[in-house]
Amino acid sequence: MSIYSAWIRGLVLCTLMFPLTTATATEANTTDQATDKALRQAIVYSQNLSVAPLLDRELISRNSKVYLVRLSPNGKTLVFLKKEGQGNTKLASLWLYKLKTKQFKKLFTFREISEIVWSSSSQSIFMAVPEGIAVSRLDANPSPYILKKLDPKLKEKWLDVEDSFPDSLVVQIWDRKQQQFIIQRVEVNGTTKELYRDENELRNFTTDFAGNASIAASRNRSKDTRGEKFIYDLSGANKKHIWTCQWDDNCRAFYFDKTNQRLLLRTNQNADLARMAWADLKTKRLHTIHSDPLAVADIEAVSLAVSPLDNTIKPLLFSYYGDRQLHYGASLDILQHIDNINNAVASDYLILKPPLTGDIGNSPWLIHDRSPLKRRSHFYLYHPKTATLNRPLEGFIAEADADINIIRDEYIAPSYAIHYKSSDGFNLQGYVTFPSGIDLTKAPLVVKVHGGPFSRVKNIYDSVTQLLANRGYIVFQPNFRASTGFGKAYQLGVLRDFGDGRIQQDIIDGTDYLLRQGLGDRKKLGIVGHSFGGFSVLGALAFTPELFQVGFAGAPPDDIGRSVRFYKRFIKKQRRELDEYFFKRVIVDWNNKTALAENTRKSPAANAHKINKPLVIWAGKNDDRVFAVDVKNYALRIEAMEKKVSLFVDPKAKHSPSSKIGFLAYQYLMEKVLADHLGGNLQKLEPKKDKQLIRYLKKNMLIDHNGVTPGLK
Amino acid sequence: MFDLFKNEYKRYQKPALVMMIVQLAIWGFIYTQKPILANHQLQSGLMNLFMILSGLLFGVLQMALHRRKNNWAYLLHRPISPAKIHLALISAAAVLMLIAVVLPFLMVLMILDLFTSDPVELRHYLYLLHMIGLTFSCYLIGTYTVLSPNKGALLTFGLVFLMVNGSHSSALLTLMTDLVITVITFYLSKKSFKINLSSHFKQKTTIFIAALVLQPALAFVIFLSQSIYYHLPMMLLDKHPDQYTQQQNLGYYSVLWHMENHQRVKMILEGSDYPDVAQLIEQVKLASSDAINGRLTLAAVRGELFYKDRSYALDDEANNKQWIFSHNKMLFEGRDSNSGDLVGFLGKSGFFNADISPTDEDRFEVIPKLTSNQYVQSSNTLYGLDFDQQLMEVKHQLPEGETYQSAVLFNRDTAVIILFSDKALYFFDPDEFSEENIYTKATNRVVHPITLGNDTQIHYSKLIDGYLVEYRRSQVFGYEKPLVKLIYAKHNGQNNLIGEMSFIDYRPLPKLVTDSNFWISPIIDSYVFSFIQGLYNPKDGRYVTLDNIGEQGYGKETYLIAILLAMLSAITTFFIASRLPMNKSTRVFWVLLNLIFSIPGLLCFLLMNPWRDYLFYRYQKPLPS
Repeated sequence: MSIYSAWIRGLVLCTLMFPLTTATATEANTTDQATDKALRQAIVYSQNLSVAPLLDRELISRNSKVYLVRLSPNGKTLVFLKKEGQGNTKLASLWLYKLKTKQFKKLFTFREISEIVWSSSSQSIFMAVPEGIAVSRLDANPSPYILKKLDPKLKEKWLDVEDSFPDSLVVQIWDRKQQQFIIQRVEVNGTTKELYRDENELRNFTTDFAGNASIAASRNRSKDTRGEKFIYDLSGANKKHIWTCQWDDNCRAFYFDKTNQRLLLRTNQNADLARMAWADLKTKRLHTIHSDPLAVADIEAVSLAVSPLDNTIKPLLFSYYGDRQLHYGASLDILQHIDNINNAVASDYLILKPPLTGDIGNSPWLIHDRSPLKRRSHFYLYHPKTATLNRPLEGFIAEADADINIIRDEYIAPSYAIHYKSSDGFNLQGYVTFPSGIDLTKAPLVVKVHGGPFSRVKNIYDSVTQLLANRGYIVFQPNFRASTGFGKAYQLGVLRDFGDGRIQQDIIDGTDYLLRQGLGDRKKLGIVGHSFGGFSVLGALAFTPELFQVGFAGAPPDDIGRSVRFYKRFIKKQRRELDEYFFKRVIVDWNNKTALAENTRKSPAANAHKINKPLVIWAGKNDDRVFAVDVKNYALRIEAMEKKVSLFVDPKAKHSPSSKIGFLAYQYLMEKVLADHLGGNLQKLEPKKDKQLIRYLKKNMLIDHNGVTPGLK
Repeated sequence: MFDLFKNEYKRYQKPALVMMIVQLAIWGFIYTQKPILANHQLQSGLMNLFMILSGLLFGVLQMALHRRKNNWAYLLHRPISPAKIHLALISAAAVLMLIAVVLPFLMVLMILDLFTSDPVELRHYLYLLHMIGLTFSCYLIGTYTVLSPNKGALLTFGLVFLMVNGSHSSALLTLMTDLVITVITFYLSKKSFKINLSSHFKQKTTIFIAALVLQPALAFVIFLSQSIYYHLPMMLLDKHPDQYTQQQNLGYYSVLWHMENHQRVKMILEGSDYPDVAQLIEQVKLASSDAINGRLTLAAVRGELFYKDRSYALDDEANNKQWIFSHNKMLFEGRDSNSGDLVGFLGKSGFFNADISPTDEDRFEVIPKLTSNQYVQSSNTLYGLDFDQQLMEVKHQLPEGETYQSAVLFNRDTAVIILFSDKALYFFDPDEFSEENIYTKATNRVVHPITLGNDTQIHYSKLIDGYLVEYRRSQVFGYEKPLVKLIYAKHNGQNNLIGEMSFIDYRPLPKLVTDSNFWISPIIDSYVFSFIQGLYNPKDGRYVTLDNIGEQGYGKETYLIAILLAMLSAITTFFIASRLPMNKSTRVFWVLLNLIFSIPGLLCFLLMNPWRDYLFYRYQKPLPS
């Protein structure tokens, strides 16, 4: 497909989706009607597309070799990483692109860098490596060296790049002698300076313009805590509590204007949706700077810049993700720039990176197009002076990817946001992905439940969703209650009702909605999910045994109350703090025996006998959140009840597959069991080409009453 | 003679039988703990100790009892020659040692061979010959020690180190060594068995052999005396080179021990044309690092005696099997862990059933090494095992002409897996290496910039963009100077030798001390015995071989000292010998001998002649009439 036809396809899809987004701003009944209409249009469109060929599952997962593109603060240089070699190798190289000269330069080849960040001076690049932080100095020999060793076991970590001091960053380290955390500035020449120290770990640490400690946050650790988060002024001899966020407010302070005694906050206090606000410390009042104009979503991100005139920090850009990513400018000129960008790039998901210097009118912006309809990311530079965009890396990326196959844009199944009402009248949101060129009234339907549960589904390219769509399944991904990003009521409106409860019902309600729209064959319903999604799969097969024909559960806890208690252990191991108050309020109070018993009564663990459909379970041998032994125990129990269960334990994996072969095994098992019971397509394994995968599956399949192991049945 | 043999035998029969029974009991207990044929360093060490002590102590005891004042006269006052008396005694001793030491193990082997499925091969039975040789040689050394007026006779024990050498070598070499040493010690024992026990050897052949076998031990003792005349006094005065600062060690290899990684890099690259020394120092400062021993290893030899085995079997727990390597078949034989039944074979081509006859293509060409119960390593191929699925596949293979010198080495701190061959060093990523059923390519290959030897150390630092590899050779035996070479192996495939440095010497010790092992015995110990040791360990560059014989680089002063000491030994020998009642040819023989043997030869002369009596006598006042 040419660029133009791809562009047109994108434009059509955006148009189809647009009514869905505007519809969300209306009342309930009108929402359903508008959604229904848009959905029907989307159905027609999808059915008229050509059927996508059966794609190799590796191809669907494969991504471009170029990644982690970053624009320097001075807007003159791009830095990015490029994978080298073939196959599974970790080898990659760091490249520079000078905007002025349009020259590419390879700096060095490495094996393990997970993140790159420019220094504020644009003269150095900081890199996250297994040992800690490394730096490459562009003003000298760029060969990288380790700047600071960090031990994650001691909660030592990289906090941020220091804005007020060029070529420096801020780290948190552990003082074994004093048993204290130290926040330290580290410069590229190795010089360090202690900024603050405390017995407890502080979050969201920021410095002022002089580079001194400014503010930080921490949980209320007292016995009578109600889950509050306290924000402290660190400028004095002792930290001073200046603001409180309640247990249901995941607030974040970005800047403390000491002169005017106000705090720049992201908060949902006194509102349902999180927004940007100034907190006046004198009057204790909040002054909203920006909230979602569509009144749908929490503020997701804000771009801040230092104002050179008065040395303050000001917001530039506000980003929200309801059904799709939307950006709003803090001023008219920024709004104009955003419009220019949106008009030039037809995409549902643009990540905008305006210059952090605040010189938005002159310095280029980096735009990352993560459209769900394109596998390969596109990177644009927006030149505000001329209001034009260009793609400086396009040729390089094309050349880099020439020897690998990436899924073609025309084979990517489009996803649509849908809105439906739950059976108790709450407006819910989700996404549905249609396989191309298939009669959707007869297609099998798979419900894919997200993990968390305090997470959400977005409309981005997801290889598992695309795999299922390519195999001929309609994929429904609900954002049930407990999902984040849609406000307090959405996330925390239903408390302690997991298992056979309201939250599971939200998923069922969404499924019913689609079936009522004539989507999917009621006799061919499957459900898949990972972690909390896996828990929902176990729940769906137990509590609605006649609805789903098959289930695939990855790393599923069978009793969420029990899992949360063990999650404490995992958090402690990571040396993080568990927000106990929150979990006790929202999931279960594990100190209350009655509550715990009720939770267990409603859990899949206590209702496993009701399962009467095939179930495939995946577990990671080294999972330290949902222990493999617990998953095995559940599988063995239901095996003893003569249920059709299969259990695969990935020896290399923790909570999710971590190796390429592990991920392929995960995908294959899901594909196989769905194909066997819902009739979807299956990419058969070839003895030579898939030799390694076949052996991996055979070796690690512990129980198999569904015949998903290659060579069986 | 036979009566003497019988009486001597009866004298010690009961203790021998008791020892036999005790040994059988011990073997029985060991059998309940582990397979007997699974060699273990402790097992072979204890067996060696048992054989040596039992032989040595028995020889000492037997002859010491006979040597008592009237017993000796009684023993020798028989109508048979001393040689035959000696033969009778040692024959009886030989039979007794066979019963006490060797027979129990023979019985164990036969039981294992006939009644169990343990793979008993010829090389296990040949071990019995080695046991006989070792025990009997030690017995003969014991007898020689007691019978000889030579107070240093026990130092003949130095020969035993050649017999217990654990390096891989053919059964023929091992047994020939045993035989030669047994013959030598038998000869010396026989020659020392005489009526007048206080008389020293007179025959030149005997003198030569007796002196020759003492050379290595005497040279070693003289070498150790350094501690007394140099090391201890210097330590007490705080002037010993080991107490030197880094600055004082500059120029010597030992300075490397006092330095951090980045300091070494700075020193090695000082004066080099490498453009960014300061940058490299920064890169190395916080980089994780490790050192590996770059010694060359000998491969196991087919048919070698089983006590040289480094590993026994692969444990296939998944299928309840054990895979034991058969030297006869050059394959692994699979046995059921419970029943012992043969269940199959594992060869170069993989697993196959017992009912299939192996072909030459299935057999390994060399004895493979076993690593971590996961890998089988031949000379140039590393195979990965998957017991669950009964699969064996090539994990890594060397280019033609290279042979592995190490097993798979894994370091947790650097998170790197390493293999090295005789030509190159290979780095692997652990995640990639642990992928099963797939060939793994090395992430970096570094060709060795030096020839590896037993003194080679390889030190590497893991940088962001590659590895900095430091090759060190200490080269302490006068051949070449110690040196270090630095290679920057980048992940983009570039390997550059960026610096090298050679040192004055290993440590800042006076030449007199560092070269002492040469000038103490320049010909016999430094050449002849070094050459013999080189036969057993041909990869150790420290030993003299025909290849490196002309490469020795001792200083002029060392050669001068050696010559002077040899001459001094000869002159001193002449001076003392001329005062001893020995014939002229013997005197000349000793002088010439000590011109070659040098100081240890002189010590031999003093140990093997009654010089004190004659020297003191010469200067004593005449007795009153």
